[in-house]
Amino acid sequence: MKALIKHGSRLGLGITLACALAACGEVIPPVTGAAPAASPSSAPAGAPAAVSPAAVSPASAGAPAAAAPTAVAPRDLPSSTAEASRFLTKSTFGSTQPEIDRVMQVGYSTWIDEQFAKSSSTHLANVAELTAKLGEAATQTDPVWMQYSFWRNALSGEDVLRQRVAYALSQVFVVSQVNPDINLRMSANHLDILARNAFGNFRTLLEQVSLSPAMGVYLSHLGNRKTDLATGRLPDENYAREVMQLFTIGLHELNPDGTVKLDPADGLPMETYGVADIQGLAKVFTGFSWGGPDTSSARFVNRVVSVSDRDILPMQGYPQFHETGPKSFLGRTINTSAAEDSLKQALDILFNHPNVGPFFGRLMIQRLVTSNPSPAYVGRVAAVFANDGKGVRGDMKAVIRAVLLDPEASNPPAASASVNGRLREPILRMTALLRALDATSTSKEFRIANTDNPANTLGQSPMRSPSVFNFYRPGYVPPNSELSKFRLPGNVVPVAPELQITNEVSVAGWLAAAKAVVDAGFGIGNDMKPNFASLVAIAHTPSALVDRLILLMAPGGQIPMDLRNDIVATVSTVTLPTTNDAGARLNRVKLATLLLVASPEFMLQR
Amino acid sequence: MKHSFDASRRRFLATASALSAVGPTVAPFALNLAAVGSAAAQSTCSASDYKALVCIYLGGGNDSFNMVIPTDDASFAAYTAARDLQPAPILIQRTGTYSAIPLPSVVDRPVALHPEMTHAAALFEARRLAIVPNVGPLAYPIASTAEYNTLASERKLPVRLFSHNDQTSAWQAFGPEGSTRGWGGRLGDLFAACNGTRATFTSISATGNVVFLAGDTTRQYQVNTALGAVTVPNITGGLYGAANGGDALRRIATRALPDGHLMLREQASTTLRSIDLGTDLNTLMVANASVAAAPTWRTLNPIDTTAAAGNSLSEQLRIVARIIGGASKPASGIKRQVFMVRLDGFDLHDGQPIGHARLLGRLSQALDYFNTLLATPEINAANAVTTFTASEFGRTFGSNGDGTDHGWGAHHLVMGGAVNGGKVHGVIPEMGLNAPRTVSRGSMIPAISVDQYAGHLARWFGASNSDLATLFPNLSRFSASASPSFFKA
Repeated sequence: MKALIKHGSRLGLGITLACALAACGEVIPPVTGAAPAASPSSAPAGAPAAVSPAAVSPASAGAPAAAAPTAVAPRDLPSSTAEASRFLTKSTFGSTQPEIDRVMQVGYSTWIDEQFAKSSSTHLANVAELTAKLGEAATQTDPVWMQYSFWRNALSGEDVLRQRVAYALSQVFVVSQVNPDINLRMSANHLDILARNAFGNFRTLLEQVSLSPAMGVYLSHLGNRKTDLATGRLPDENYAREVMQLFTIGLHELNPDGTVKLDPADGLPMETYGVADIQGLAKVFTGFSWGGPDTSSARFVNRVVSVSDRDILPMQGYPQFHETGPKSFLGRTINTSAAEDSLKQALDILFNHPNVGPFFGRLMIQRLVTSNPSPAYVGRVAAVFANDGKGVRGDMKAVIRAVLLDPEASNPPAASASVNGRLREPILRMTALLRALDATSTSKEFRIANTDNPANTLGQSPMRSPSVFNFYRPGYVPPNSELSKFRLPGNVVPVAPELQITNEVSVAGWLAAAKAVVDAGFGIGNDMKPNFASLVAIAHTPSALVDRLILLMAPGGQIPMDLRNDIVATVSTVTLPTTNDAGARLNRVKLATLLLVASPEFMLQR
Repeated sequence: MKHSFDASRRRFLATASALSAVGPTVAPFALNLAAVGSAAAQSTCSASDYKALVCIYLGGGNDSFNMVIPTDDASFAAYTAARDLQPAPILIQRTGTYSAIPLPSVVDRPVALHPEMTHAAALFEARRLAIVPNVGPLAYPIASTAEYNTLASERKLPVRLFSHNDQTSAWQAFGPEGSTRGWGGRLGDLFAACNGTRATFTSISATGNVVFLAGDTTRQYQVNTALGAVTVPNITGGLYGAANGGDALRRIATRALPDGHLMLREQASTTLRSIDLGTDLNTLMVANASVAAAPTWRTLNPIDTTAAAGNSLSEQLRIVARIIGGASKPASGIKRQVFMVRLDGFDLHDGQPIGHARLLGRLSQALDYFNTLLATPEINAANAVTTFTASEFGRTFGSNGDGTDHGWGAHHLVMGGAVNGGKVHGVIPEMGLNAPRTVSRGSMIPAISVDQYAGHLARWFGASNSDLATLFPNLSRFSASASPSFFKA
């Protein structure tokens, strides 16, 4: 009760734009290197912090790390470390000082090029390492090692952009270990496919996903058979439906800016496909099963995954089970009888459907930048999907660059101010926290088990979505909420996908999980241990400590000054003894960290 | 009456202050909690008894053709022709070991239940359980495939049939994905006033956020299967050497943000509900130790050697029973509640025989466990609770090899002391790949609309005729004779 009454004193404060730090009478000592430690909000309001794709010079991939700052176009350099860090919340699993320094030095575009050039850290390699170390047979591995491997790459991988994009793709091309038939190597391989193609071409990505044995098992086209007129058996429709609905074109015909086309006749949305299209496309996805040295019927029907490398080899065609007759969908007919050729032609048709750019582009914007992009933003990304400037359709590098460097990514329109950005889902909150705290794995194995339980951990585990519809839907609107009553321009209801897994249990679970990290660490036996040393070193000045945490975890004006001041004031009440103050300083660090990540504002990325 | 979060919050805070001024123990803490969550849509309540609706959602689309099996020769011949395809037949045998369980005293067609559903068969025989056949989303009645084609050309079918997410929403909220109010929540709007200061506990989910439980003013309250409400430690007093560190944690996690970002306001208000109401819910519930643990489950199928394992559906129903046990006592001040629990995994495009057995076995056992719990003295609500199944669609009658694809109409189960059990309330249609009431590989065209199915449940719950017309505006399009009530007269 007491806390409730005290709370009233804050009700009148509505400060949302913080003053520049110097004007607030605080000085932060520089922490590392030459990068000036700036306030989280020192960027002038409205200053363009990023450049449009068109303005980006075609820096060669693999630009050396020594690129001189003077060579960078002025608008490509962040206006502050806070802006650099804000960019990194969209493009990595959470800011770190070295990455902030690098963006400050080379600018956004070159940083992206450098990331494009880094080789992929692979989950299959991680898994093999665990298998060798922990001595299990390669085919009898523990599914939880997928979790270890995810966190290892998210927290320590060099290829931070690739890993973040692969994670985003894993929420589009969903395969889930909740299905017990998805073994460890299948899911590791699937995530590797996503990472490998994250900087490739969407068409290749789509084909490798469609032939991924994990996807074949998950959406049941592995072992799918052609029509049998004698018995009435028809092909399994599962993959045909979801590859259209979820992976490529979606339910409705779209304009190039992602808005739904309306039928001039009745003003209703125009559906992209019907039952007949699904049944036609289902015929294409027949006759695929395990990769291997032959196409015997025995191999086709066998359900045992632990044979040689079939769990990671691309699926192959088995002519005796593939539909040989015409396969019609979306107004096109495929007449070839070879399984692989049919599949390639079908994927070409899907890939070239005008919906893919706006449909997929919007999904990527939602996963990386904001839940409610304007049609113009979607249109710009879709245009890049259609043509990367060199006549190539589906160039993922160009799409990612367009998503991250769009003017709206750093400077959202005023009309969406109260719904812009995106809520960070629990996994991204935890990666941001662990990276900011420089956490290290005691075992070097990143022993983090499933984080499914919402009551005491994240209520979300990588590669463990409840269904192919992901943890949340891109169009989720919390029922009976202020969001559901708000309207964006064009009478559009704003969406908030991540709120689909936010409820009375999950919010309590997050507070418990965050406190556990601060107290002891994260994972099995608290394998991940925070390293507070650099924060303890500045904890004699609460404002410096809090601003440092804000810079790393919630930068760029995300934390309003009243909240920042509240945390500073609370932390200041932890008094430092005149001698031997290490314990008290550590307490300050823990308190500041917990208060920051408990705040609603920390949950938002904008 | 709608209240913005801040308005209700300020009132809540003001009341808390007032209470505190005269001493912290003068009134129950819950006195004004209603204002924080669901605001009552009506100011009066005429209900004097306690009733609860419990929706068991079968996620993925249940193949009810293998749950309720017509066993007359003609039906079974059509069923065998469609589903007995080598090498992976998906039919249920009519005779022999592990065969369908015949149900007694069913008129019209004889029917049997899936062999795993021994508990459900016993509940049927004991007249606690009834079958409602061929239910599904409809905009208009459809008598034949020809009428279906006409309505399709006029765009008068439910939109996006056969799509998981959209038909999930159609069942729960009569519209495709994106709909923001469900009929469970709208019942909550009607009856929240009956729950006085505990109106927030009108609508409770044990399975995550669902549109079914959201109304115009009603919001769902999420509970954890094991714990009920999850309490947040360290939210008062000292923390990390700061005398008021815990208070700060609470203050910051539940910031009011009067002009703030709408996603953050949602986050903060949810946190406030969690912290402020959780303790009251846990006080209300029947104690953990007073309720028998959910039994483990293992299949009866002789070829499935999987070891016994937990039954997540029973565990969800256990926390529901614990809440009902407390809420149904007059002292709680609660008169009406709507719950949702869930069993996932029904989207069996392949591996159906064993996969489906494992799910239907759990469903059957969970129904029996819940029925038994409700009758125990600690809970004592056997006749006050009606439990019913829902699922986005049935499946195709035809096989795709070793599974089935997305269909439409499906048979459903209702259970409770008020239910006219031991009966099939409606017509099990003639089945076949090209039977008269089928489209798309033997998907059944529903004969009973979800509006009608829900209408019976709502009427039992206490909704008036005018309430029904508001809740289910399409109800008047459907003939009452097609869907007889499944409640006792």
